[in-house]
Amino acid sequence: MRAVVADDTLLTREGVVALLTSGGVEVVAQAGDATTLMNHVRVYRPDVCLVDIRMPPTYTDEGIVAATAIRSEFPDIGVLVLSHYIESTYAMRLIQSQPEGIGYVLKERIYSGDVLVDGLRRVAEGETVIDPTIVARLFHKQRTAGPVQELSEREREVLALVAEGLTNQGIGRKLFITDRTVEAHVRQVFTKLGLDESPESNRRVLAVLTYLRSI
Amino acid sequence: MRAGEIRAIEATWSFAALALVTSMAWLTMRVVATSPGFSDSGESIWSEVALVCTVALLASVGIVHRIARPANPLGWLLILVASLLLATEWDIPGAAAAESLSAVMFSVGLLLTIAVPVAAMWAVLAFQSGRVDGRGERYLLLAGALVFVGALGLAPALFFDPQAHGCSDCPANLLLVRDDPAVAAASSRLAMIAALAWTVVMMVVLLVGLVRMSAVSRRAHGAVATIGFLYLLAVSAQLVLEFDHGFVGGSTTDPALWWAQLAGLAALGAAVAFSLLRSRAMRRSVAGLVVDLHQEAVAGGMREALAAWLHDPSLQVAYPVDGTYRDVDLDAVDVTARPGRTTSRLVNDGDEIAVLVHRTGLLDNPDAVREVVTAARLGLENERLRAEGLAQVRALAESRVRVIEAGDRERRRLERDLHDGAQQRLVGLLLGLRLLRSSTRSDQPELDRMLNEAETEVQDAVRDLRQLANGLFPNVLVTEGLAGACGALSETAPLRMVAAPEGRLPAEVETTAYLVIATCAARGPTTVRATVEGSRLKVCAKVARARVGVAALEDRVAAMGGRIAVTQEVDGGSRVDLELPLARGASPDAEPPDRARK
Repeated sequence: MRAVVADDTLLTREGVVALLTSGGVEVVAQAGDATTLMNHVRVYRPDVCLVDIRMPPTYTDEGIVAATAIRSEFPDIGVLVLSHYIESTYAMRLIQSQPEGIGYVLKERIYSGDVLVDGLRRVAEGETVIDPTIVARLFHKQRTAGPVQELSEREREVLALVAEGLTNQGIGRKLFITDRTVEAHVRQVFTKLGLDESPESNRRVLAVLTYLRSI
Repeated sequence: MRAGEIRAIEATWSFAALALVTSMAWLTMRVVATSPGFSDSGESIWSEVALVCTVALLASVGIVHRIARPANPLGWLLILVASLLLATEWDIPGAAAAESLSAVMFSVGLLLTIAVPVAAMWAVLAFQSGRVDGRGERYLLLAGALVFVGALGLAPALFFDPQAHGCSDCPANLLLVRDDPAVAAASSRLAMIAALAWTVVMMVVLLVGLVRMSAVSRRAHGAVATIGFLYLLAVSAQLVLEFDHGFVGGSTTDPALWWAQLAGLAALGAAVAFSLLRSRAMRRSVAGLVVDLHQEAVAGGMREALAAWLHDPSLQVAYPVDGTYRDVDLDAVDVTARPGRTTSRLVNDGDEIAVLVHRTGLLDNPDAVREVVTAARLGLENERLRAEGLAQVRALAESRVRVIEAGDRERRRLERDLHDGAQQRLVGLLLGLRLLRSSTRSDQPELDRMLNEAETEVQDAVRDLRQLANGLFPNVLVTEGLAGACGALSETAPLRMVAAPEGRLPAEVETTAYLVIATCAARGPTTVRATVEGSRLKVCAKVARARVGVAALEDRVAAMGGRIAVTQEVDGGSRVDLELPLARGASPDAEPPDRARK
């Protein structure tokens, strides 16, 4: 897997590159800002990009803008955004513009090379990746009684994994159940929540996150 | 010198003039009575009465004008016309009634026998300001004086002795050089031709002036020019009719033409009186308006009043505020001259109180401007001070908002420093630890455990730092706006947004609203409805089971020209109502306080 890494802090970038390399990822180029990143992507055509959300000049959401740009110009390149922000707002903006082949994980994931490499692999394959912490926050929102409260423990687990962007196979592996069982759970949860979206659709992450945020 | 003193001096002079004209009139009547049948006006007693009435009218209007407008010499001109009108009667035998002065009086009468038209035209041309501004017009008047006094009056008098030619009663002609009737008749004929030519030229000048006058000027003094024209028509007719006689005046004058000229002069006096009365009435009405305005204190009322007074609905009143010109609501006014627009500076005691931008020709003489200043000074001063006060209030409000903005910027900077400085370093440190751990050998479990602990510590530090930074300033507010930031807040706090404005609002409005909402949500379960209504953001936050204090935010809200109110509900909850104007600077005057409308 060939990757381009973009982060404005040299120290972090070097560390990330070392971690990825030890995890078997070939880092073909590094960038300190969004413009350089775009140039590298055009030149090296990597499988995947790891992009920090805060880059010059405003240090706010340049990473999201760059991710969206890369995805629209090169639909076969996956982008994983590293964020300092735990709010779901940015993740939503990201997957609203590009519902697949994109990921949003918190910056502190970089200390775990495995998680990072796994996330990169999933976005490279066209999946969606949402950091579990963000999904957990949405689940723990204070709510009055409603459909989410009425879900069974297993159904909640499945729903959270769907929101994190896992496929049915991925969920099955994680929960040690068969794909068929996962599919049945997902169908049931979607019916209970009144979501029209087909559980197989690529857009189900967006549907679930929108639902969780709205209630 | 103060206005009062000037007025006193003017009054003294005016009384002197009145006494002079009265004694001249009395003398003239004695002269006329002494030699019946010689008067220019013919036999009728009514003509004498009319003459005296016209003189009285001109003189009294002149004196009133002196007192009403001390700076305007038009009053003197009217008194001059009245005096010359009397002097036309002095060239008759009855001048002997003046006894010791009879010869002087008779000679003056000969000299000024037909000087009135020149003086009358002087008054007509000087009607606006009391002065003749055009150089050509001045030369024309000078030429008129030379022709009517020099050629028609003086030249024949030098060579004609009335005593030697059938007027044995006549007093001595003091001007006589040599008795030579032939020379006198010849010069008189030449002078009459010159006088006729002058009259025609003057009529043309008046006509051209009438045609070229703006509509406003024509309304103001078109009547006077017309009166002057008709009067000259009568004078020229007299000159033509009397050409055969070889001289002007005396009992040969056609009575109809004499009456016409007298009527013209009376009309001139009446026109001046009318203009005085009209401006006085207008000044009263504006002064009354000023009083009304003072009581009602409606901003911009002076503009309405002056526009109505000057018949110019497009009139603008600009006040000097901090080196710029602004209207009463502080909007900038263009005071540069443009085609069709003229600016007039209203100055009182050397200070500029206002500038009027109006149609050209409206206030084309200093008197009219002075008139406006006299009548409307109080009201204009009042509005100027109001505009200045408003400018100060606005500057203050803006500086308060700037202080708040500076605070927000500082908090953002701190947040960014924490994120990009401390947090990045910690993340880098984490990475270093991770790499170190992966390179340590597996036979050193103690080291591995210590590294693991260090990693956990650093991770906790990163999390704490993120919370601290987010508390300083939620970055999501900058990028996603109020709705996004409130959505993010609702992920951790008991906050439910029923409605939130979709679009972006001014940064300080978003920040203030967010801080209020966050304060509420920190106290208890909060339901918020935030909507944009017109040019204001309205936020209604209901907090269940908790009392909310917003004292810390009140200053901030007030500085932005907004309102915040907390109501404690009976069920133990609270309700916070926040209103913020979206436009900057629309603060305290957007809705004027109570003083505006009582």
